[in-house]
Amino acid sequence: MSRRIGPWTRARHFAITYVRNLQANRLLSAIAIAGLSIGLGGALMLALVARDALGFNAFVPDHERTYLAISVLGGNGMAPIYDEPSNSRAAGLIQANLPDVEAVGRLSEADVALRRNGETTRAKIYWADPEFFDVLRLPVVAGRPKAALSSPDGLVMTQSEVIRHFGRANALGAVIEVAGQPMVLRAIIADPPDRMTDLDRGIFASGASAKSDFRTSDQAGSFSISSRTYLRLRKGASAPAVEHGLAPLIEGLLPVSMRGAYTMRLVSIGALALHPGLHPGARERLEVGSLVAAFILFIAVANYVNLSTALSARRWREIGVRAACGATRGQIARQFLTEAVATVLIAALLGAAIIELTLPYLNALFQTQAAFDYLLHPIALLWLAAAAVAIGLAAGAYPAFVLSGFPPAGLLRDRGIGAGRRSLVADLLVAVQFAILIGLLIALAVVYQQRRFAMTEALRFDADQLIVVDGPCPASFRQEVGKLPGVRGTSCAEREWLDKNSFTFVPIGDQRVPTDIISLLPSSLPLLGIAPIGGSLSALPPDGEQEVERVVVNETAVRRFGLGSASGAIGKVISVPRDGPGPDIRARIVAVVPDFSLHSIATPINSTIYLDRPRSPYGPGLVMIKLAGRDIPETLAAIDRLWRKTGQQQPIRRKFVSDHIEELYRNLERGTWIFGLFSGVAALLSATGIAGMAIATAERRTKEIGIRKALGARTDQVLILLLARLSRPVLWANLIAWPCAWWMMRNWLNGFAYRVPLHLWLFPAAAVVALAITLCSAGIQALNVARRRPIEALRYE
Amino acid sequence: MLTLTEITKTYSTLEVETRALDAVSLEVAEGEFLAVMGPSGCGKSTLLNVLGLLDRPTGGSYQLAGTEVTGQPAAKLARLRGEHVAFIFQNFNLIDDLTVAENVEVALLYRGDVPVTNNRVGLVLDQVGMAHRAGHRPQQLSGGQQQRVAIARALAGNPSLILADEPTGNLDSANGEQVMELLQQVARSGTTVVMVTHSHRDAAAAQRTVEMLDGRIVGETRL
Repeated sequence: MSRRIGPWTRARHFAITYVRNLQANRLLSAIAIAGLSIGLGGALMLALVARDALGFNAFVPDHERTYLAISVLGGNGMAPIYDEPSNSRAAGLIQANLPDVEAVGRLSEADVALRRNGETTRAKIYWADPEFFDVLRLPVVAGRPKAALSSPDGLVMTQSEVIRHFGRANALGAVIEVAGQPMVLRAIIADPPDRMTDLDRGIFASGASAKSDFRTSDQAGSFSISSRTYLRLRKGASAPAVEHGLAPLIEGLLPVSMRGAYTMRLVSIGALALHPGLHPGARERLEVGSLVAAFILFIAVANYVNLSTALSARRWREIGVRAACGATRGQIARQFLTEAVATVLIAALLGAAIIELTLPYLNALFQTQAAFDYLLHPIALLWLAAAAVAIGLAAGAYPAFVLSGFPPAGLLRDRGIGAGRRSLVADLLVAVQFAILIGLLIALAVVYQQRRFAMTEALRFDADQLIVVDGPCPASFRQEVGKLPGVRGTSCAEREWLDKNSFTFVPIGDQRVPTDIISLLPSSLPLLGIAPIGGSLSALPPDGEQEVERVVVNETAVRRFGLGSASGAIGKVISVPRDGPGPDIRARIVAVVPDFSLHSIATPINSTIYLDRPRSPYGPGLVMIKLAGRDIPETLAAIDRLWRKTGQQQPIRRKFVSDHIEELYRNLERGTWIFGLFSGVAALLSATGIAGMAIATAERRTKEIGIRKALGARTDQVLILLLARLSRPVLWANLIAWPCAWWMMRNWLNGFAYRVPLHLWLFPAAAVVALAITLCSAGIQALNVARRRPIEALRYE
Repeated sequence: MLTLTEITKTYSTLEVETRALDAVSLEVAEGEFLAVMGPSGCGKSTLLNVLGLLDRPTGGSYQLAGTEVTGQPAAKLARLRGEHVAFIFQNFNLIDDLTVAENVEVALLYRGDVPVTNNRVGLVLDQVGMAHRAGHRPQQLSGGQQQRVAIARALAGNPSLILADEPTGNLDSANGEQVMELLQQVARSGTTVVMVTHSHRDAAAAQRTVEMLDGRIVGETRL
């Protein structure tokens, strides 16, 4: 009986060959697969993060022509400030005057009390126009959202909020008190997908309610930047054209001081997550993350290529025998390619498992919310498999091409392969690998230095033992706290000082200079360790002026206002725009303080005027408390007690200013972590890559080493010879790494108004680290070869 | 079975041209057992490589089983090799990571659509007396046993031509004799065998011996 050799017999044979080869080279195979797993896992993690950012709001019907009108505040010489809320009264004008806009609707964020069955909870809600659900036609579970919000007591909730507040899924008709007014749940919408939308609250209360913020913000003459204005354009309409039409419409709404400084821009709701003005650094983080993930993947693949070429070169006999048995070059290449794809698939599976296990930690570390929800999206697994096959083909191409190209006649006569052959590709891959490693090390050092600088030298004020409490600075509380033994001093300032400054334009001659206006009591400055460099704070009433007459300015203001020197500025009178309507205030400068800011050093310090009052009449305030530095827990507990005792209704919200600073530079810290982690991974992978190359080099040069030793070379001389050869691509790597790292890190540092210099010593230092990694990882292998007796080396062939 | 006419093979480097085969003409009949002898470097192995389509001649004509093979593309040569030719080497060339049976199986994988008898691997291993070692690895066998496995691999594909390159060179005399006996059996069954050897004793087992020197055939002895 006869039969043909079937595909299964062939597949079984090649599978056995593949597995046996993995077993025969356990350690190096494990290193190659582990490297690929880490590389693929990193790439997968990044793909998951990018998927969220790039698919932002994609679930909203017609999202591609739906926009959020955002605010841009800025003026001559000032970096623009972007804010998602915009002027409340613009929506009505847009609806009436811009025919290209199909629908417009607003939301206003509020923090209100919800009361039901005698129980009160606080919740973040939106006051919403009924038209909002015209613009964003979110999937409806029950009722009609637009109609629901048309009545002043109408309420729309997401499914999960309904369950949270009413305990059941269908609660249409149920009543809950919102900000003191009973409201009826009239429609339920589906929960929007997590992390994929800017809508972070699930309760939409009718904007027609008497309690709605729209009641005040919509009044004629008022100007507030407090509504999220969504609009959907007609098909074919252009956003820039609508933006162009919007500018003259809102001009009439602006107070005089804001004219020319306030504009509204349209941002596609899909682009919100990565908008550079709204989320500074988000796009860069994604780009840097992509680049780093691509680097790690490249290192892992290069590593695999080098290791598998080195390992496969041990299979010269097999290649020769297969050729002698009639295998074509293509068949041999296919075998190696298939093996590469199989290896990458195994690595991808391990990488996915690594991500599955470590995702919560990685999300915490990188402040991302990536989810590997392959059960919900099985297509993600298909993509992963397809990517693995593509990477496998790319990684396997070189070894397959090289190994299938050796003449079988030579292989079968026991010559081995590659004797005396220098692999330019392997050298190049190692050089690029180490270039990436050196680049990452330089980036790590620069990011670390900048973070240290930001949190120490660049701070310019003393944040130590300073806490701030949110609140309008109640006098009774302040006095009682001031008496505590663990407290050195207290003061009041406006709340916005911490997060973003309110600014205005100060008329100086025919110029209007953008200037931050900060309300604080004069005692705040000594609490921050700030002493005047001109004039004195003593002339200022300690509890604030009723009418602002005297002001403190910073050094930048002295310069921009053209006041000469700090001492020369004292006594000069400047115009300060009023908070409300009315002519400018004429105020005398009584002191000049050094430049400092509670904000990130990413933005330059503006000219600043400090007004002597506990807070701005329109904004919240804060209490500043400087601790003495002893009995801190007791003092904090006493402060909390006094907050309640002095009759404050809200629970106390306090934080250390040092925590605020940490928060400001969380991105830098995250950057340090990212570069630290990936530099470590890159170092590990590069070390294994160079070890693989050491093995290949040693095998290639065994005969040469034997001859040298037979002719009298000592072990150390041979060792130096081998290590010098292995170090060469690592030295070349600097040629690639230095200019690239210099260019990239200089650009990165330029993103900070205040920055460390790019120290040149970092470059050779990173090179030395890379060289040390090379010598350590290749050293043992090289030493083993160098120590062989010459007869063993010569017998090799 | 095979006809060589004026075959030359030269290896050129920048400065030196080495003529490994110099106008070799040779005819080998089907089922003939031919030995090729000569000193080291005389071109025996190059001749064997040309015969086995592992190397291309620089000039001349070579007909294998009636087909002119010079000038054929590499893939066609590989197919002809798989269908017609098998090799036996001095160093056995067994794949370390595969078992005896799997090593023999390699010979069947690249034969295209040519049918093979069921349990062909078992049959040929039985033929060389190695069936009981089918699951062993090459390193677990003696040199003689390894060469018998290599012969089984050569036989597995039912080749019409077996090329043996000093098949007893690494064996003691007892194992060498066994191998030569196997080769004689193979020739008797109708397969053409061309064997390169240094050993007059081995050459004596062949029906005809050609002598080579400096890339030429300089003598011929027929038993």
